[in-house]
Amino acid sequence: MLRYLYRRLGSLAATLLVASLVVFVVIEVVPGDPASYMLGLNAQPDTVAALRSELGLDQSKPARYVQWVTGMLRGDFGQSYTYRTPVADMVSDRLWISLPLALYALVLSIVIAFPAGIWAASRRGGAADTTVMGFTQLGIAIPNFWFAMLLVLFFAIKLRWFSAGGFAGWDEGFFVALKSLTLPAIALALPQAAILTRVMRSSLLDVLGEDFMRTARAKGLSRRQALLRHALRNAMIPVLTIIGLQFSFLIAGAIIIENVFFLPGLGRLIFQSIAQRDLIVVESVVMLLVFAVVVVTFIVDLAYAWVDPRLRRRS
Amino acid sequence: MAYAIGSTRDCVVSDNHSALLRLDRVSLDIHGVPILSDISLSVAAGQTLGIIGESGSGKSMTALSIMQLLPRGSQSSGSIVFDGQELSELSEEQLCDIRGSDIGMIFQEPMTALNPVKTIGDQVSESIRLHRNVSSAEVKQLTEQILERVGLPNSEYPLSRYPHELSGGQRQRVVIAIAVACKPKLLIADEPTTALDVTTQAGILDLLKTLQRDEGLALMLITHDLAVVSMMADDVVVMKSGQVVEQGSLYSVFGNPSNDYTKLLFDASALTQVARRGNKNDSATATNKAPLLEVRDLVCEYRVPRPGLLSRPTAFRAVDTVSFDIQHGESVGLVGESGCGKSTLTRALLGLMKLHSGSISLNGESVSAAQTVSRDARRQMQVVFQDPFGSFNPRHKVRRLISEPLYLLDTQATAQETNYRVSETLESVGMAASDADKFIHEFSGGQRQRIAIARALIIKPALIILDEAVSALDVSVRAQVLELLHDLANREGLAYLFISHDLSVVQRVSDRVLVMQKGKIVERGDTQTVFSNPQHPYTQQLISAAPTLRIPQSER
Repeated sequence: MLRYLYRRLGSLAATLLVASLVVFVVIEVVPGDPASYMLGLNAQPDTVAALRSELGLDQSKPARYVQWVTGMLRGDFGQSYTYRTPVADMVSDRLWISLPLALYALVLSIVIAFPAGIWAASRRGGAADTTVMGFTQLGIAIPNFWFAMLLVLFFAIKLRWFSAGGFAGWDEGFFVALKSLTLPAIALALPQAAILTRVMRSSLLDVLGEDFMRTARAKGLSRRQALLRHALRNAMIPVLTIIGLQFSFLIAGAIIIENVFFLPGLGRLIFQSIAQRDLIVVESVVMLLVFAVVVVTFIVDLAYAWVDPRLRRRS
Repeated sequence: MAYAIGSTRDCVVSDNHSALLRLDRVSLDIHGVPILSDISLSVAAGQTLGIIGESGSGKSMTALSIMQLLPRGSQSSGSIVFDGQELSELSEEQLCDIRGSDIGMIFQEPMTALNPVKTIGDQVSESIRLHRNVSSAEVKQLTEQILERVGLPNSEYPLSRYPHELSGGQRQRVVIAIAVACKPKLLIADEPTTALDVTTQAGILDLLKTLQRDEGLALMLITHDLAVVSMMADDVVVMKSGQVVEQGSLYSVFGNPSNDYTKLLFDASALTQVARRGNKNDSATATNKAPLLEVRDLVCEYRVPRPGLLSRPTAFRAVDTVSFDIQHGESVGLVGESGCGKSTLTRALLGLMKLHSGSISLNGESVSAAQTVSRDARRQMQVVFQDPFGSFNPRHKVRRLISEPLYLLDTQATAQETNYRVSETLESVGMAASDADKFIHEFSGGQRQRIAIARALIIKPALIILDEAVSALDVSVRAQVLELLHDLANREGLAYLFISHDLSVVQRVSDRVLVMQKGKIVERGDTQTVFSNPQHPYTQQLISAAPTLRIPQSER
């Protein structure tokens, strides 16, 4: 088990290193010089040169890469070209919205998908199965920004239970902040829950056809007991994979929903930074997202090993 | 235990009223397709009933009917009385109380019959916890006891083991432990040893016998293997296409079979030697000629994941300095248990894996020297695999499937030529030329294996490697396929390398035999000599463990 852990940690570090190189190189080849962009079309060449040296753009590329990476390791992500404030501060403000929002949406998605998937699988071909599958079709088909708008119309404007947008801030108290994230989280969770339900159902159905399920029934377990005690854990591997992918997506993939609800999240930050050629912010946010994905993958790998003892021994 | 050892047997045979289980005119349809019709049989307490039949005969469905664990869409009728209760009238809840408690069941495939994510301790204790109201300390103690009872002592096989840490035979012991944990009155064993090696099979059959004797349980043994039944059963039921065609005591059915189908099964299973080929003497004289296949000091290794980050990579030697020859027109058998290196050897011969050292030459030309096996070598050597269901691409028609080796010709065959060859080859394996336009799912297992042989034959090879080619087939079909191979060898002068774990098959078809153990060939020689006078202890063990069909001479 320890060896499994070490191996996973090793591949985590290697992925981060390769990712940092790729991110740096890709951003470097993107056309557009941030200094001339910031100063506009009519800027004097010497002013641009001065800004370039101030931003450190005149140094050699390897030197800038090393500076960037070592800075990140110390927690120093550099200064934003546009706002002239530390990138770390900008990112951490946004992260405190995006991360809780992603988690919130994921929890909702799991809470909906697990019972629905199990229910559908246990009544395969029955009315419950057909109904659940119908809803998942709908959940995948409905664009979540449109669903978000419906939520706002109904819960915020008609019923006035929630505010229509904006974020209260964590200083206002946990539940107040959570409340302002509720509608966006529901909007984000809907398609994810629909996908997860389908994965849960089909994975369970595969396991229900296995020989050991027959052994479980021959032992005297009822259908329900056999499903919960023997099938569920075996069905978890694909489900965990999807949960990992969904979380990674939710951290950064919420741009549209953030816009609908006027939430200052990471998605909006990265969108603005690209538009403004604020390369250092883009680099840092992308690295942060890579880091998040790698860490989530690591956790999912650990969960695999926890679920399936056969993976603990193998490399 | 109320049952006295020894005396139960005789009194039960005469007293039919003490039947523990009685099926009366049980019929079953699944989605409207008749599966069983009018099955009537009974099992007496403390006795063994052997149910014999080929695949699709309804043996397993009979067992599942008793367990009331039939698949969806099943419609059954008739009465199943167990221990005085009509099972078909019981509620699901009452049935759950009986399953695993009064009736235990063992399945064919030990590799998949256990939940891979739970420890063996959990899985065995679960059935005790379900049916017995005892403290958890007692549950643990009972679990240890029962595992010990089935030959998995706690010192070597702690409860924390997972199924993947055990071999097939050991897993089957765990499945048996689950089935007998609550001391059932009836144990249903559905092909319990079919997937196991002969020596493992002997151990499991022995265990079932002892358990039955000591616990006085009734055993319903379902198998296609007449030899196993002849060793185990008191009474026998023969099934075919969902019907009972013959039943009675072992003595009456085996000693004097009255039904034609039963007789056919006996003929197919009996160890009568297929008549040897006429050219046997020729092949003996032909030894002066260069051998067809020459394998010298062959070593094949697999890389094993290194134990630590900095330790040297290690290798597992699957084939260890193996040398042998096959003459033109000769049939050589290779026997050994799973994991002995048979399959690796096959892959090496076919050029599908890299050799570590040693050489393979065909007709004096080295096959192994180049990176890829030459077209010429591949043309002369063809293979038939074990699984007739998995070894064909289901989306291609038979014509394409069997004409594929023609690409190995130096000049590509024209469409007309291909068609001619396909028809000719199909007919030579006893199929119709029109079968070329069908898909593979339209054929039965035996027919598929004929098509596999046609695929090997179409290029007119000198050597066919048969890798467990008849293992998946029923006895009667197996006999036909063996007969076909025999005819083809006579007609085409083919040489065979017959790889199998089944000694009786190898004994029937091969002139010479090689016995393989742990990657080495431990014994070789003329088939007759090896089987009648085995020298190596491993060969002796294999031969003595193989069940032999004994026709009882008199009623015990």
